[in-house]
Amino acid sequence: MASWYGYIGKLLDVDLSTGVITEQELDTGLVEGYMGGKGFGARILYDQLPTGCDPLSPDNILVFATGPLTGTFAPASGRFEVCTKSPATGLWLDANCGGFFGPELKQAGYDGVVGRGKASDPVMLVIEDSSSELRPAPNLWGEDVLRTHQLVKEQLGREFRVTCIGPAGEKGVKYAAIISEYRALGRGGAGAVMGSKNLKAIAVKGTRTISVHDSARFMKTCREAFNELAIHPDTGGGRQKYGTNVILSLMEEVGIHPVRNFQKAMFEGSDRVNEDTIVNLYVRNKACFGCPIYCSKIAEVKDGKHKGSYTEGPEYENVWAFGANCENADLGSIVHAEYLCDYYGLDGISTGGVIAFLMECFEKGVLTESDIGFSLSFGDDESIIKVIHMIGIREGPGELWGEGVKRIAEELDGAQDFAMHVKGLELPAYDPRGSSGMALAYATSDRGGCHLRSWPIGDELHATENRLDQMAVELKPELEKTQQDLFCLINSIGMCLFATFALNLKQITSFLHEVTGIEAFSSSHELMKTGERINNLVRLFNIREGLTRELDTLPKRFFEEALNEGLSKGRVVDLEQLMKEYYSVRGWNPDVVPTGEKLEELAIKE
Amino acid sequence: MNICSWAHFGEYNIKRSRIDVEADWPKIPEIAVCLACEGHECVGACPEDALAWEDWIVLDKERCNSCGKCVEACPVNGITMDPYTSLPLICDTCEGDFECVAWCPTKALERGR
Repeated sequence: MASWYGYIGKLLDVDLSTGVITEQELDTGLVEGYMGGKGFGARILYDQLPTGCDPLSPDNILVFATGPLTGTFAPASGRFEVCTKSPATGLWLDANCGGFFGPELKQAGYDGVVGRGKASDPVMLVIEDSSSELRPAPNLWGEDVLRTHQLVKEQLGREFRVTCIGPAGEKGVKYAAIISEYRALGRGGAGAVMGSKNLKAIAVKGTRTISVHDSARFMKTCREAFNELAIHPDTGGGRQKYGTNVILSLMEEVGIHPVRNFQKAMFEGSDRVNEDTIVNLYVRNKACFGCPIYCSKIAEVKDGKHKGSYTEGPEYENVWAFGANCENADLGSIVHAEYLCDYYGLDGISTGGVIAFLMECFEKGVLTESDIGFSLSFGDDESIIKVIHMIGIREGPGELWGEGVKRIAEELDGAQDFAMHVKGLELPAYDPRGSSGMALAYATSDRGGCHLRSWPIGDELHATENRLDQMAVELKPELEKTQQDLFCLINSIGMCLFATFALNLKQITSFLHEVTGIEAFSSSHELMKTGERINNLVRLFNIREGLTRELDTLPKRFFEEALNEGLSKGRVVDLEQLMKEYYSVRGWNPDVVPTGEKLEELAIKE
Repeated sequence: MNICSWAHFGEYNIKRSRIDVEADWPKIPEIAVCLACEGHECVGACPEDALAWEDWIVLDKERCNSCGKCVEACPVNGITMDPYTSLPLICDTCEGDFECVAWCPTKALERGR
């Protein structure tokens, strides 16, 4: 194809070992089959990553990719993806991020950047209007995320958009994040991969226009979509006011808000930590590129020990991770904990998960005060802050703690039973004992314990009990497959998942067809097939990297320990039937591998 | 910002917008746009008489030599240079149509004077 609409038409390939940077034309087959973002990453990693490579070795590949809608006028279209092999799970990893970096990368001339090899010394990749270079960055190495952003902008100019790692990524913390101006590519340790390559930061700036094929119809679809988002009770109401914390009380009410490392379901501090107290800390709304939802907030602590501390957030997941999950009701410390995660470049969910797990180790006597040098009881807000500092620079026991729950549990006798992770990724803020959908979501997610490969709890709560009971098996495997395919698609086009609360697939199809002019994108059915194709290719990747049916499971606690309070009282997870039906709905054989027939249907070339 | 460049150039390019969001992270972003001030500093500063006030600032492209004096003169940092044409980008209220106000999804913008 001579000229592209929506896409820029180029990928940048950076070999950090040799310093050679090459441009690649975008391939039509890759675009039509895999869309962008996660899809591009899936195809590139499947084709190019050496099987079984160490995620923190130079062999690993780091793919940053935007989608066709990134940077256009379509609402909530500021997203980009990073795809790599995860040091936390040893399997597939993709993480999605908003902000302004994705659109700027496209304006700088590239749909994506592929990083491979390892630089001999710390470097920064600078891309400005289709010219790019690797610059030595000894002055940035060791600096925290906030300072790194400032130094890069002082050096290059404030118009540059930056994404970088902090000390946690440099030191290979298995759940280190990549941070882009307070937004994060958080989960699964992409920051550690970037650190292992000695790539401290990427700075981009550009003036290129992102062309749109059918501008007149596209503007009409945009107008309709903006209206839909504005009148939706979530995207046009609750989420604007409360940010992502809008669902906090609801989740506790319906019995799926985990407390005390998933030991309890009712949080005694919920009168102090809830959306109504958090909203008092917000000093300003903030939106990602082109987003009418503006769920992001700047929060500042007004009193108490952490007076003056601020963060962009705090986000729902982190409020839970450092709050209810650690039984900590000091809101100031939660805000400060999130600030510190941004500072060191850590994933908030996993950091909170590690701390809650350590607290239970301490409670059960697996860890003692003589092991760690201080007391680490549930609810101890000062120790939470102390532990984050220790993980951030991997000091003392922080060295092991930076490995994540799975590996810590392997080192400690008797801690396996309450190690709350799936495939090595710490769990987010939904208790699967209260939602068969979330049980399936965690067990089958391609990157381990994650709520963003599908979010069935949303549908479970919005449907009437007769149609979709929270605990029933019926329809859940089908719902899971549909959502996973849809989310794969959304993560590949450059739009935010939150927009899909209000927008339907027909509108998303219109966007894609009108922006790109590609005929294959004019059918919703075909787009869902694209989502399914990406999902199956990622599955093949994971199987190749050693995934087996035994790993598609949940922590022991969910099968054996029932909750004794809240709406989910007395329940445990029964996964067997759900999984059997899910594999069958997916068309995967008993070894949980996509069959030849399925691959043929989806036109996946191995 | 996208709507601004679309309204004037028929393309989506925030770098050609007359509205600038000055994002000096981690400072809170500030919006910079022509506020149609009474003094018309940019008009006075232009050595080529390329700018005039006719209910909004009007640019005479033939006269402009891209010296950037108007950018320096603007008291609210409301002028940037178009990276494609090197001509100053100054809000002309879409000649009274105010496309940004019409499209602002959160209704945060409204007409001034």
